[in-house]
Amino acid sequence: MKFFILVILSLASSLSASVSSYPIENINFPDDMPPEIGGLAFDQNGNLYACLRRGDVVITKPGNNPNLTQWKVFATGLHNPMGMLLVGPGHIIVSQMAELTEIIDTDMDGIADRYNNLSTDFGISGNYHETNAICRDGNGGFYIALGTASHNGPTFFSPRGEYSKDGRRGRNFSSNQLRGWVVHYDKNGKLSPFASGFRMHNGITRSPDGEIWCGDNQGDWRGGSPIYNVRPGSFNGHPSSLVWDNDLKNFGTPIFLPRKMLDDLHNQPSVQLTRKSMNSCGEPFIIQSKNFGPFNGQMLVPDENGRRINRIMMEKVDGAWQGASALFLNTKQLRAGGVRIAMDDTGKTIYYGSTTRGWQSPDEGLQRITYNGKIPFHVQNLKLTTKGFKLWFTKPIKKKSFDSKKIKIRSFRYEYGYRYGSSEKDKKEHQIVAVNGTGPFEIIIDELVAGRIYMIEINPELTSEDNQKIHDPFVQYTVNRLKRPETKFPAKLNLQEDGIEVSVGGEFFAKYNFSKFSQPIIWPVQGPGNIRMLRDYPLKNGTEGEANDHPHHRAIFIGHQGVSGVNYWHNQNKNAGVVEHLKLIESRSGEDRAIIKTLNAWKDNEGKTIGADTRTISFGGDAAARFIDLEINIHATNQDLVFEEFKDGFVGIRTHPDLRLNPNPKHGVKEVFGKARNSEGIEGKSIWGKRADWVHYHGKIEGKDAGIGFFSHPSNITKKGEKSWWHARDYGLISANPFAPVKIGGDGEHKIEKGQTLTLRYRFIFHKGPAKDAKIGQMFTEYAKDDGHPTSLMPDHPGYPEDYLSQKKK
Amino acid sequence: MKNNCVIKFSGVLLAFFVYGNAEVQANVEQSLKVSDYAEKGYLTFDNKPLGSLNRPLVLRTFVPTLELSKESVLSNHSSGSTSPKYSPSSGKESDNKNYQPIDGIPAAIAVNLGKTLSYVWDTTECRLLYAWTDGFLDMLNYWGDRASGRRKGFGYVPRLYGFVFYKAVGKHPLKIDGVSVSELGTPKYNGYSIGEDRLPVYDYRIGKHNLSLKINSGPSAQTLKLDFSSKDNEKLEFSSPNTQVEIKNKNSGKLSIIIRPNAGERFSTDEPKEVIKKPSREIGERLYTSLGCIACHSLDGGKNHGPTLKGSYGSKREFLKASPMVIDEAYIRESIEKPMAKTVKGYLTGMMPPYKLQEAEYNSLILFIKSVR
Repeated sequence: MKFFILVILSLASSLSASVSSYPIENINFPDDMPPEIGGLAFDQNGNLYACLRRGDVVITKPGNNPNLTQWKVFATGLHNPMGMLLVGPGHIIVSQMAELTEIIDTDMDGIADRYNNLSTDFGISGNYHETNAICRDGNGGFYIALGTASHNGPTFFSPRGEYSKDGRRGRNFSSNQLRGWVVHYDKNGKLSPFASGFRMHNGITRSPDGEIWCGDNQGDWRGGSPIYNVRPGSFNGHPSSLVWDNDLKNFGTPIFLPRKMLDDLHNQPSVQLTRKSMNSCGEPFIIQSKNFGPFNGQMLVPDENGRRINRIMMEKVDGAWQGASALFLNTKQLRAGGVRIAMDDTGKTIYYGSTTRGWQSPDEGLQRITYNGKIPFHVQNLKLTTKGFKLWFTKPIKKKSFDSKKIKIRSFRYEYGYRYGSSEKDKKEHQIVAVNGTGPFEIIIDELVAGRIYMIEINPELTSEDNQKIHDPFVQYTVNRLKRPETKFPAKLNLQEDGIEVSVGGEFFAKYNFSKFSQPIIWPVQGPGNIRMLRDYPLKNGTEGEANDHPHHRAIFIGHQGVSGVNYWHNQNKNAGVVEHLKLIESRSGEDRAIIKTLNAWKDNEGKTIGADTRTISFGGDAAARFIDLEINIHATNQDLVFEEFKDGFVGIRTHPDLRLNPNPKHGVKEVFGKARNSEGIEGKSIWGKRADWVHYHGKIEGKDAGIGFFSHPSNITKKGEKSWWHARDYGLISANPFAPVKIGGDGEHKIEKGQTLTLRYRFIFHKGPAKDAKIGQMFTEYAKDDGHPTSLMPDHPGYPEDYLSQKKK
Repeated sequence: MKNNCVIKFSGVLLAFFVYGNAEVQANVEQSLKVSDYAEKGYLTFDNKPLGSLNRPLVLRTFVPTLELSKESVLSNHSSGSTSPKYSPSSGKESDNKNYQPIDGIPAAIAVNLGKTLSYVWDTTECRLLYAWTDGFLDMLNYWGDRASGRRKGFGYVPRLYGFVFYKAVGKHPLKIDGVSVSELGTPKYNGYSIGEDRLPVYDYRIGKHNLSLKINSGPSAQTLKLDFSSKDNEKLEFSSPNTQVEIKNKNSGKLSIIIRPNAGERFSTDEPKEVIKKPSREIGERLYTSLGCIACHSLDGGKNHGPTLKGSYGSKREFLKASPMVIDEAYIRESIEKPMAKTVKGYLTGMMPPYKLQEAEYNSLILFIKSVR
């Protein structure tokens, strides 16, 4: 098509930059062209493509003088295009409101003439807030970020894509198919869900190592402005989009799910930016150039509202990305509303596109920021250590005068909930124990806790050897995970189709089976020295010396005889329910302990879902003992859950027959070697029905000294405020039961009200050697001090979801 | 705003029937003249962008529903519902206040060729939804003005202005090898090409059939030309209730048709400055020209698509189905408002679109027609 080549020439003045290392220039647009930048990309010939909100895609070849920038129109007719990738000159992929579109200039005359619809397999409600963005998948396909709708705008009577009444609830919402998701469009053209839980991820980026990154806006369900490492299948915190997750469809309206359940499902953001540095994240951009100053490999994230660009320093800690952030540029010379960044082929200059249309005073346009070779005085990097942080500066400090007086450190948590943003909660001022080194500097602080954000303020008078003041005198670090201690016995996971195998120090330890006899079962378990710890039956028949009584005693199992009328203990009973493994939420492998976190549905005997659990199970150990930690959160998702007064529950283990206290020759158990004791000093079969912190079964298993310790965490509920009640029998069954009948000394019935969660924590120890060497009591003391996994729920936060509904309804 | 000049569509689209108002008329024409896009080739801050015959404007945006049937025309869309109102101050939902969905079509393509033709083709239904002349879309509510940059109003769907002469009716009008598209599954939009004449040619898939469609203005005002073709030379037919279609070409795998007006509604985004209070013959005469009556009804007895107006009042008419009667005011009114009610013998049914007018406009037209002796 040769009907027009548009050349626009205009002469407006651009600002002269005063930023000492990164001067900023305005790229000119014709006065009447709204430069509301949606996407930016360079082709291999150095042409810059910009897609604009009203629907045009314009091209320029930037020259030395930004005032003389000439634009020509390449394509038109796009609805709010916000994502763009270059396939080649004259060939782009654009995400727009209604579709993923391929645009081609087939006759190479400079004007696009073919618009291919690649995908419309996602919903549009008609709401203005439904953003879009794309990045490559590294394999010929794309990831598309599909934003949610806002209560500030309507939805249509006739939207596109499946509509969900449950999704259209709350402040920002996912009323139509896959809104709030990152979806994957593969090279064969198939679109599939990839990760949920986004509010408005205005931008998506793939790093050179193949990681996918999204920022998100501040808002409901966001404490600050988060940056997510988007793992496949992950839920990233904003619940509305869960209506399109088949695993969760039976639990009802997502925003009313128990907050603890959402918190457990939440893929914690790698970095939470505070308002001090960010109002809402634009698209992350990864610096892949040594010519752009001392920050190669770090991430820049523009502020979609403010006039600033953040710099993110990521590292992998305990298997996940987290890190620090500092302000990169914070100047009135920047336009507000930065959304996209693209780098030219010199690697010295980035182009910064902004638009604020619709949410604040118009301040759109395109600017470029060039590194002039003068090293700025910044924090170059900040990493977590086991006792604090390690801090790098870009230049040597004047007279090497950096010490503990030059910094202040405080920390806080963000709460997780339906409210818009979070104030800083649970604030702490930290003591700086020591600052070591001459650069980098090792900062040792009094306390380091996971689930907190650490703000390190640097004295603004800190000066470099060449007399520059520190550029932006604070850096913050989001500690989701602590550095794990060195170990000779790394716990590793081997993910399989039907379960997960765990090894410790290279030896097989245990297997978590997703589904065996109506529920997830841990079996087998081998102690140090490869000693078998559990009865094989019923998971395996025919093991010599085993009795086949109580076929519902399935190795290590979780359940209760009566939960709102459903039996989760005796799996062969008529009213037996099923605990169905729905998904592996997270796994960590290779450190001193491995972790799996799963989501499970509690179904009745007709298959109807009545509740859920999220369970975090940790595995680890050394040459003498191995442990399995269970933290289970039982969620009343669909109704009140009543744990009825029954003796059979809640976490059970059926030991190797050699650990039995009594033989049963009739059933093939001729000789036993087991002894039992509890934390209260009671021994033998009389530990049954007693209260204790722990029970310990020990003796010779297949000729070798070994034992099993079973701890109930002191935080576990009991009605009487006492220790756990134990259903610890003489024939190999041990179970801890918080719901045992009152008449046999138990705690009786417990009700979890709809929307609420009950947390229970237990630990198993599998040791070799005699009981006296096992130090069970000491191990329990350590365990009792353990706070469990970090949570973003605040103790003083009003209950949820009741609080969400109006007062009148209460 | 006077009630008698406002028709409200589900609380969203305000349509003003302002024919006969010279000032408003002048405004429309003025806005049609200043078209940045047609002149410059890019979208500007002008919130009433227009293309031209030489440079059609393709605009993807939300568009009004214009009361198209959700059951038949928009059958491949889903259905929105009410939902509890949310309070940003408390962060909670109301237990007695609800949001109502609004009218709007989310994924359509709007095209403008200047004053001659605007149309909306929908990618979800793979179907022409409506067409109009004398205007396009006012984007102000959606794009915001240059200074503030904000959307306007809760229901910010761009407002259509101009004269709508075609609206899709019933299920998908196309039959492929004798089978209605509506029975062949969900249509799948593939994309469009821009040809030498700069008009988009849409291609889409219906079941196993690959089709393409070009939409242009027809040989006379307020008509459309649709050129369909099928990849495997399937037989194509077009039929739609209450719509006059003239087949121009029907070779294997090709179907070219002219669609005549089946609607007549004027929409303005401008507030009318003057409402006609008193009907007059003069206003009626102006309406006769501006509404396009002149195209089919002569004043001199000449035969056209419709009967002449000369001496019609008081004369006896014979009809295709109804009993003969003498033309009176009630009949003239009915013929303008509901032209399908009675068809004069010797003429085709459904040629004339229904006109929704102000009371005084109907009466002005009646006065004018009575005066044509």
